[in-house]
Amino acid sequence: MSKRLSRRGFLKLGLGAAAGAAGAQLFLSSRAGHLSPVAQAATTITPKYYLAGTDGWASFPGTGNTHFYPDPWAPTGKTSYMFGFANVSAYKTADPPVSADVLGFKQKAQSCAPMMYFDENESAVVRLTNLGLAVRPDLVDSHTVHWHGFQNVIPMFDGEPSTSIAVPIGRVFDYSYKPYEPGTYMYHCHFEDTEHVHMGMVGPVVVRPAQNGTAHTHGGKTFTKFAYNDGDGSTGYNREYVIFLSEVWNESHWDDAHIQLPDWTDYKADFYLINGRVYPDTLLPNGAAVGAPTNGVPGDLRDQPYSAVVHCKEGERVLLRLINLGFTKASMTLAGIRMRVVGLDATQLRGKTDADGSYETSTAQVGPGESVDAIFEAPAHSGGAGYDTYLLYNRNIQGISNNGGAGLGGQMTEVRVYSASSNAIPAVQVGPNDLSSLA
Amino acid sequence: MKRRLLPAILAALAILLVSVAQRGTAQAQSTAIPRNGVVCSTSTNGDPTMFDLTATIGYVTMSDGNAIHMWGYANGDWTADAATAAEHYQYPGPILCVNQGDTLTIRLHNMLPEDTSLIFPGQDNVQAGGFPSQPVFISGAMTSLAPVASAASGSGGNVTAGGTMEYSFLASEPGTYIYESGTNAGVQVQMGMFGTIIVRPSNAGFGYTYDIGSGDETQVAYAYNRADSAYNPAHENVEILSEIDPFMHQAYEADFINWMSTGEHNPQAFDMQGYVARYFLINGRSFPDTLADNLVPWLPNQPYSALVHIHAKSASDPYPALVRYVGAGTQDYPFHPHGNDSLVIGRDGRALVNASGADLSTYKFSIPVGPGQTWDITFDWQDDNNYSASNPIPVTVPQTANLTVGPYWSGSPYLGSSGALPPGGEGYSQCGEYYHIAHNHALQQMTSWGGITLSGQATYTRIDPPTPNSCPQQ
Repeated sequence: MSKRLSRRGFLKLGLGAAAGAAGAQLFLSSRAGHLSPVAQAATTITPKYYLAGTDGWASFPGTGNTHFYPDPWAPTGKTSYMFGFANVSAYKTADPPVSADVLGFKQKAQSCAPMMYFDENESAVVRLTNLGLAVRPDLVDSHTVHWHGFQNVIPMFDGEPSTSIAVPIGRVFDYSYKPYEPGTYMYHCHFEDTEHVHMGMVGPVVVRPAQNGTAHTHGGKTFTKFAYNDGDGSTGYNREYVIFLSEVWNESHWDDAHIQLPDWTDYKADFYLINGRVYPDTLLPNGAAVGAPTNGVPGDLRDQPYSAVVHCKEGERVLLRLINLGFTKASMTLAGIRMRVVGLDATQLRGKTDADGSYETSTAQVGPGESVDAIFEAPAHSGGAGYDTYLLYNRNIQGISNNGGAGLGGQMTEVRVYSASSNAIPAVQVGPNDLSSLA
Repeated sequence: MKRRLLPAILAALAILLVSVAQRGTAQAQSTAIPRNGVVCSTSTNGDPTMFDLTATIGYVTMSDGNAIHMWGYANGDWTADAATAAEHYQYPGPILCVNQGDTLTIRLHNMLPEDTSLIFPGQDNVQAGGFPSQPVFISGAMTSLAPVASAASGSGGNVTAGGTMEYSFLASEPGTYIYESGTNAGVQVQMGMFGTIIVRPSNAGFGYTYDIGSGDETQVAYAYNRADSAYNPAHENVEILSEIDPFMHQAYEADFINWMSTGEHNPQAFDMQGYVARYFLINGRSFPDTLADNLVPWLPNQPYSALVHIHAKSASDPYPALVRYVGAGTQDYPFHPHGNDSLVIGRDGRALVNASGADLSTYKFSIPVGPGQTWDITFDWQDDNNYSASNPIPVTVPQTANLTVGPYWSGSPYLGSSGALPPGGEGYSQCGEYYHIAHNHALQQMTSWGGITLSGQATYTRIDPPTPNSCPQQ
């Protein structure tokens, strides 16, 4: 094998499935050294999050009407082959890091990837290991974590494999972050990133501002949680929800399971996801095990843990952290409630001299790789028990169909507004997206 | 199939691939051409604000080796000979730089089989042929958005030049602009008929005075008549984003060959309902050609590098780079430079300010460059944590045998340092510089036709240590 990559070899480097396999094998056989001893990350470091790159399966309910969907190889209750990150943070002190427990997460990729929250100026480590692909043992792809939008990052912690390093199967790498800029971000694997991103190695990451915990009054209400270090409470909120958008093109997912390669320039999404699920599964609570059926078989949601329902009480301010790691621009409409866009791409909308650039809208466009911070005030409750429902959905209409079928699906969820006196939801949100683990 | 017609048309036109040196002479560059960054075209007629552009066919090469038949512009009047015109074809069109207050004049000469014209979105009071430029109507039907240079004629394998049209306007506002075809534009623009105009500010204190030969990295220029639009003119870049459907271009190639012999041309040689872009380009190149220098000889008709080459911010490198993004395709390209946010300071030839002139510039990590838009951003990079061998990163790095190592990795986490690389690696790093990728985040547009990944709209930002450093001179 030539020591220098040919032009074509370079093109294939870090890239698509079969092409990528050649590139990755080139790396591994000539450079990484299968037989080298495994160097562990220092066990004195306890990461904040521990992610394991692997494959898995997800349920996207719809009418099975194509060769590619549902995948006939999918386990019962699942429809689509995925790559993703499994959350093995419970084993972040394991020594060695790739313990038997961690290895048990092979073929248990989570859709979407684990939500990660950091505090401004926190010194934090994210550990990554690579468990390989159970369905594709012929693929020896490495994985990385690319924190998309992290300012002034050094290449070592950027995760783009051609300018940096990536993590081969069975190995471990610790990414160190000291986030200086609060806001809404996203992360994904950057190895062969067209494929790995689309296959599902995508998730949200949020940096909470140092201003949190101090009281600021805005519009007659006092807040202690903020989107940004606004100094005046204008980005204060009571509850916060990540609305994480991604897409599934059936053909490419089928191809990856069945040892085929798509022409990515044929791309056309079939499913549009919020927080790793499609409507109506988006309405099910966090951790729901059973989702909507496909061809009469109930969906298995155990690897799609995140609800997309927004709960709030009348008069409360709610922060929506809209993130898109699909390949298509989304137009997220909140019908019946005005949102104020206060930040884009983890930047408060203020000029260098503090001129206010925030604006009100009912439809926030979120392009691929963009984030939008939008705050709305929940309107008065209509009375009686129960909640008022407002729809939050992608006005790009093909984004609210499942597999092009009849009826509603895809990127749609509900904002549920309760009365101020309701006990149906906690008085104080237990954590972002109602997840106490993120508090 | 897709390459079959190329030898025929090359023979018919007797195209000789000229060397860069010859082209450079023809373009009479008055100053050294930087390896990366903007290259303003030099007028071929001696008047720096008047350009002759010849509308012609030409060929470009994709990184998979496919050659594509194009339409577009050559800098100069090359109407005497179609082969010479095609030699001087460039994609995208010449970058035309003038100062605010100049009158920019373009004489458009036509060697194509159909009428063509130029429009200048964002410019006021454009004149064409000595009259206000307006849409052209024939028998009540609009035939062009602007007065045309009439079609050339083909006969017996030869091309006889068509007409000429002269366009001019006062460059009244600084910024980044597009010029493009206003005739059969759905076809002509897509075939490559567009280019960039840079208007530099001229108010007192903001005029452009860049000494390219001095090597002084503390020079300052301005994108607008505003102090907060300052940038280092040694690191000014244009990144023109476009796309190609090879079947469309193949159809017009066949049509062109037929026209040269018969004189018959079909302006709808391709059914645009079937249009699907397969190549996604920066400055007319696909990755990794985007990284190659300006005017490399193996890309004779794609002269513009897309590598953004900067130094880490320091007292000796105080000003950011300027990147002018130009959307010349059919859709939003959500462009994502790694490494740091881009500060958006201007859009479509206007500084980003509110109604009272207060700054509204904003940092973004995704720059959604839409069709016909221009985005002016500044970019710099510094290590917020000042990592070095004496202030090491707070994690343990596995030995390289346990990592997959990229070809541009220096072997060291630290800027200006290098470390052990696995045997047989490329080791492209020269002086411990950093590289960050910059790419379209609609990731299918980072690929190209047939499933070749990382061959579309992607380039790198190269970050050298602060000056002075041991890196090769740019």
